[in-house]
Amino acid sequence: MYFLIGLILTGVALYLLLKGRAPGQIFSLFNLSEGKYELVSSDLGKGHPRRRLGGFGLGGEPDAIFKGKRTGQIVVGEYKNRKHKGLVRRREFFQVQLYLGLIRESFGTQNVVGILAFNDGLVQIAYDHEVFLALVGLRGEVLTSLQKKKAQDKRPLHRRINIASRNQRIRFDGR
Amino acid sequence: MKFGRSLAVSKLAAYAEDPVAFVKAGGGAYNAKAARLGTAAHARVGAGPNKALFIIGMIALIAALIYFKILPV
Repeated sequence: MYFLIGLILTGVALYLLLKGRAPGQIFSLFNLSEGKYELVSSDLGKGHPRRRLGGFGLGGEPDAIFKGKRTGQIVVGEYKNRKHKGLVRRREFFQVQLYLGLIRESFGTQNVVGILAFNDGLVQIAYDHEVFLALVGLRGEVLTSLQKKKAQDKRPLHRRINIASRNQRIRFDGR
Repeated sequence: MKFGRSLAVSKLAAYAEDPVAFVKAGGGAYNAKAARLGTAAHARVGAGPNKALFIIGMIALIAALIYFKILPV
């Protein structure tokens, strides 16, 4: 009987230990140190603190938000369940730019950086205010296009402005 | 597509990448299967052990120990 109780208690302890170490997976995914950063928000898994970002008529929740314990730097992490093979999709890049812009407003800091995590590596993304403003400027066009079921301007954003001026190392997928 | 008070960041990003494809998809996912797999992958990261599977595993272990007479009853 004591053996059975001991076995069950060991099982419960093991479960709680693994559960407690779960946030470590999120740090590992973005190659960040738990000693240097704290997890502010994450919608990965369950049971983590969550924070939805809003502003400029936009809303969204990044996969993870970290804050540097000493530096105060905010890191936005987005996980993509694919291999990037050296190429970033523009919508992934734009998503991170939008989160970074919203984070700057919400957290009142300019010390922000984005990380795209793929199954075969990471890509660091610097905030580009020009790209953010151009994206925010598309909001009305998106809603009108959806209502009229026709793109009001067929040109993608990278045909309208230079989106890579602050992220020249990034290679984008497609033309 | 419902028009809420705020536009989702992911939708704006998709439009900026390719307005025509975005409108053609009605503002939704381009590939429903890929979207489902992505959601499942997101749920797995940082989730820790599955409670139900853990309980089933414990019960199976205890049953096996009793069956092989390792655990006295």
